[in-house]
Amino acid sequence: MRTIRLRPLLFDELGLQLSMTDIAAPLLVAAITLVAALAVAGWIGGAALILHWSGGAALALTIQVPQAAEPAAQRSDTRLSAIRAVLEVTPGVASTQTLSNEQVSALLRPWLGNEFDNLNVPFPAVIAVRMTDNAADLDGLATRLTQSASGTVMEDHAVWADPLVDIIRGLRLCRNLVLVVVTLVMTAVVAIVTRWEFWVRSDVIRIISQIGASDGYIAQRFALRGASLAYIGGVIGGLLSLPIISAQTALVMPLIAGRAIDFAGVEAFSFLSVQFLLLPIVLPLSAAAISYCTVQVAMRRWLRRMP
Amino acid sequence: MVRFESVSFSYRGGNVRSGATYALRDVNFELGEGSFRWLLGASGAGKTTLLRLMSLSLQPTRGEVSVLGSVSSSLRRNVLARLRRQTGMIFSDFGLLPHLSAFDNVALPLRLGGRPEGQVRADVISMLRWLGLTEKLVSFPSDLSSGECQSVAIARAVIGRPRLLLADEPTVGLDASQSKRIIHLLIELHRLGSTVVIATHSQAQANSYPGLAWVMTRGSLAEVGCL
Repeated sequence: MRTIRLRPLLFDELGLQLSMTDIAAPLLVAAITLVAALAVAGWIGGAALILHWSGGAALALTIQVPQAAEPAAQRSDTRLSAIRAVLEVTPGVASTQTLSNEQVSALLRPWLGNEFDNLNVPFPAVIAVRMTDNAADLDGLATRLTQSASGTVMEDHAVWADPLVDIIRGLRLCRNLVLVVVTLVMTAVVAIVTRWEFWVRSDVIRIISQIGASDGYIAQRFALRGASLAYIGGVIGGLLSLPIISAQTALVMPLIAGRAIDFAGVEAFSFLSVQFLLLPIVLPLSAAAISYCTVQVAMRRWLRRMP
Repeated sequence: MVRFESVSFSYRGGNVRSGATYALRDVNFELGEGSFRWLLGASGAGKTTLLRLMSLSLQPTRGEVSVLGSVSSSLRRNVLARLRRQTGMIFSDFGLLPHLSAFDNVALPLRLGGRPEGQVRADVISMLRWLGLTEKLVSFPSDLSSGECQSVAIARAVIGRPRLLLADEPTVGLDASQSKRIIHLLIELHRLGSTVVIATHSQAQANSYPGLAWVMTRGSLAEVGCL
């Protein structure tokens, strides 16, 4: 005969609603979730900053022109003018800015210290160049600059981009390690709490089991309870992380605005902003899923040992 | 229904050759469907151990126990749960869940068996009314007398009309009138087709209803025929 299961919603045969862990477990999970949220938020903020920085650096050049005021070899004006003339006709150059003596001094003073004012050496002129894209023929430009004014040095800031990408990858690795550790800690905490609950309720479980409750039924009741407590803890942790995430979002959004393409194999910028929004939703669900699976496995294992 | 073949049991497990350690010694019997047995014996004779082996709460140290056609040593857990739902056990310590009311304690086997809640309510109220516990439906075990707890435990054991009912000193703590009522209930259940085993140390109680009896002495079982 087909039976219809109509177990009352609040029927709590295992006494799970009387548990001390109703308070302790969500708080533990909240703390763990908060750590996970901060790890992800920290990675996103750091990665966005570095991506923004490296994106700018990849398009920047610095050109140093020694003896800038002296006449150029092939022209009647100065070496500096000759260099500027080359830059004006070079495709891909978006803007140039020749730094004033005061600006150059301000750049060098921190490196040379108090002796800077006593130095009586000529400093090269410095031109900051911004390119329209990073596909320009920089080797050809360097050759033309040297031909126009020998000794001219061109520093391509794009050389900094690769280490920055490595840093981003390092940050991502750290984030992943933190998430793995957080998952392991959460699993261990849930397993310990479950063991405690099992021990506290061993008499009740024994009686329920003797009356005919299957291991699956008992494990399911514990697992659903554990998942709901973990979800509550996850929500608390997510809410606690919200102010930090919001502040981080406010800082990061201007940096990633309008950029939605992937950078050197690192996640797309647009995905970063989505992650911010998902953190308070995904983390509680993840906590609940981890808790559910852990309790199911642990309970079934311990129940099998019962007579 | 229930078959014991050379069953010995020691709470210490392992080697049972040292006679002092085992509670049950080389027990053999076969109990058919719809049987009735008194299980007589002094305290410590092994009655509770025998019932716990029959209820599959214990595994024999030696020998083989078969209950409802399944051998206990090779039972899968889900089959064990199903067999237990067909077995009613009245514990000498009541075994009531302290956080559940009398109603919910009695309803437990029906709910675990998946009965519709309407039927659960009707059956439980009817059973508790019959036992004179109508006023105690929502009382918790801590608010019940020893006799009332025993009655609730018995109600829970018989509510699902189990195929096998094992009662361990079911009338301890009850007055003469209640005891008579409970024994009458168990006998009625037997007449309806259940196999019933009642453990008691009271010969007088066993005499109240004629039937086959076992006597346990220091872990050994002997059938003494019809009382």
